[in-house]
Amino acid sequence: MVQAKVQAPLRILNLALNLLNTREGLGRVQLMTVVRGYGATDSASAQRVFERDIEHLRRMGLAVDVQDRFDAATYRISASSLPAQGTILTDREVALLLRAVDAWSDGSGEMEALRNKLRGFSETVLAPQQSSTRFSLESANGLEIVQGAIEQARPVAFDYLSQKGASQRCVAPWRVIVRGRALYLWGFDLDAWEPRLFRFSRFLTVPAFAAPPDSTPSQGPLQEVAFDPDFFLIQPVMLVRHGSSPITSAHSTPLPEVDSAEAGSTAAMPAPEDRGLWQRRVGEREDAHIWEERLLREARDVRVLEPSWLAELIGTRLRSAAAWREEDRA
Amino acid sequence: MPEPSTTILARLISMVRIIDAQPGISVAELAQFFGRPEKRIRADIDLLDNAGVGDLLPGRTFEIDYDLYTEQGLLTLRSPLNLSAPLPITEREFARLVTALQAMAPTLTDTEQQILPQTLSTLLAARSRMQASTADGDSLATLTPAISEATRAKVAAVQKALTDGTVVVFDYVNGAGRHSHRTVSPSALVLERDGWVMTGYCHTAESERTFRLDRTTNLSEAQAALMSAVDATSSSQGREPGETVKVTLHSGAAWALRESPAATVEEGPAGRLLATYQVWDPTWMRTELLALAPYVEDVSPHHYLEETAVYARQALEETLQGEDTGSA
Repeated sequence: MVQAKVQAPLRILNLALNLLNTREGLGRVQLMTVVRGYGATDSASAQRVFERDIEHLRRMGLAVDVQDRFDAATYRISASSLPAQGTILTDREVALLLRAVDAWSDGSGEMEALRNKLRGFSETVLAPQQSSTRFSLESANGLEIVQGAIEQARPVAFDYLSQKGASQRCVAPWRVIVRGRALYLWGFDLDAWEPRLFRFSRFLTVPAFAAPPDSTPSQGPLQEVAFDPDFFLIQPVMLVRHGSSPITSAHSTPLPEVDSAEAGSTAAMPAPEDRGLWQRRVGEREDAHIWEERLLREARDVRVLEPSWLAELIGTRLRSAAAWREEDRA
Repeated sequence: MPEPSTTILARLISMVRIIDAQPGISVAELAQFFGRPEKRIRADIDLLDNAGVGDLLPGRTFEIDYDLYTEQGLLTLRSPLNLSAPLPITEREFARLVTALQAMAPTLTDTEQQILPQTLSTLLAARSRMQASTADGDSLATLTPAISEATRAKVAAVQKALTDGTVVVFDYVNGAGRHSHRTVSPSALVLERDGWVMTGYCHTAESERTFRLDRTTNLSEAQAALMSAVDATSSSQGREPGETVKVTLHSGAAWALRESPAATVEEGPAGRLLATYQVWDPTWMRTELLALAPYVEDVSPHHYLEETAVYARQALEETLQGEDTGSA
């Protein structure tokens, strides 16, 4: 008998309802018979559809238990696997969480399904006002695996792309750090044997658990090192040409002039006759990325004195660009 | 574009719970709540009316009061068939929600900060029971993003002005280096790749403008007569297409291009990478080229390469002059 075509959401909903309303569990053939839309129970394609529907339900968070009974598997969802009936979110809480979902909006249905799920927790049906604040975070494949690894104190392994190229890493994870739109894993690099930061957007593979639970000793060098919240912040000391570099000047304040000998270095100091043209200034405390962009933008009129790594970074980029088409100038 | 099955399914299950908890709710209320047209909600009701357990005999379906529904557009059901609880939150969903809340921390109002621990505790309780967790709402609520105090204060001031319907005043240096003092009624605050960006009606320019918060100084909220709210969604002006700039880089740039603002990044011949940018500000493009300088092999249009090289040489000549003539 040919079954009338049944929409997939209805078919999967009916499958869920049957699994929720059985004490003993139901076999695959039985389920494919009572739930309209599968067609012939012995059809390989119908069986694949059934298995995909079970996966759909699991991906939605429903715990589908499979038991072997009398040489056949039986399926059920225990009602106790659902959140307690009184699990409610207030309107404000739902609004807050819907804004959080917006940070991941990538056009896929996954986040829209989450929005619908969160609305199911609501105590009323007041539609939340659209927020005027928006942001979207960089993709973070494997974020839930890393969060799970943090909770269970388990190391994770992944391939990572750095300035030196691609490499395999094994890390005892401590914390996920947010910096603007970027997400980082802060943890102990078990190969380099030191704390490191890893940016999720540079993961080449989805992280996987590297060892069983409780296998990473919590004492000694692997004990969590608190992440310094000022890690990304700098206050550069610079020489700024008078009357120039409006962006750098607006975000820095003058420093007293020092004798070059007191400064301990002569290399970066201008000639005595030029010193009146340049002013020592200290930048406001801000993210290093922001300062890097400002200083590259106004590189002709700003010389970085501190931190030395920033001076070297700016210098390297300028020297690289200056060497472009050198042969054309010869 | 048709909705994915999981999206519809999540809505159907949530609707069952809501109708069961609030009998007599209307189709219009559900449409507004779920942000879908009434026609879609009615289609969902039709699906629910055909759903049930086993052979769908009486007592084995939701038994929606169809007369009440068709005559008055109101919804009740006799039994939720064990679907009276919300769907569990998966590990993947939980991780994304907590991380996003961490990133949002600077923009939360005082009220939202207060409800955050309880919200996270409820989410923890609603997690799919696949594995045990040591997390708790209070500790999760203390996670904050890495952000400077200066930026945090600016974001808070703009956020407050958005909430209160007031203005912000600040000094501004634009990309061309021009100084100005601005009074702006903000309509939106967006975190972009280059940082926080505020859009609003600039009373100085008497038009809609966009400002990077990292280019502002002395920013504060100011009391002002309430201006008519600028609808952020309708005020966004169409942007003219920028100039297309193509940059050829060697393969070592792969890691740096991961977060690049390039419109596209493709593999080229001999392992090279081809990044295409849309450019509205030549100084911005020069800055991007300098940031990628160790890897750049060619740029089209060529004048970007030449001008950036000249700029870099001038910057280095200033340094060299200082080294040559400076003395202990």
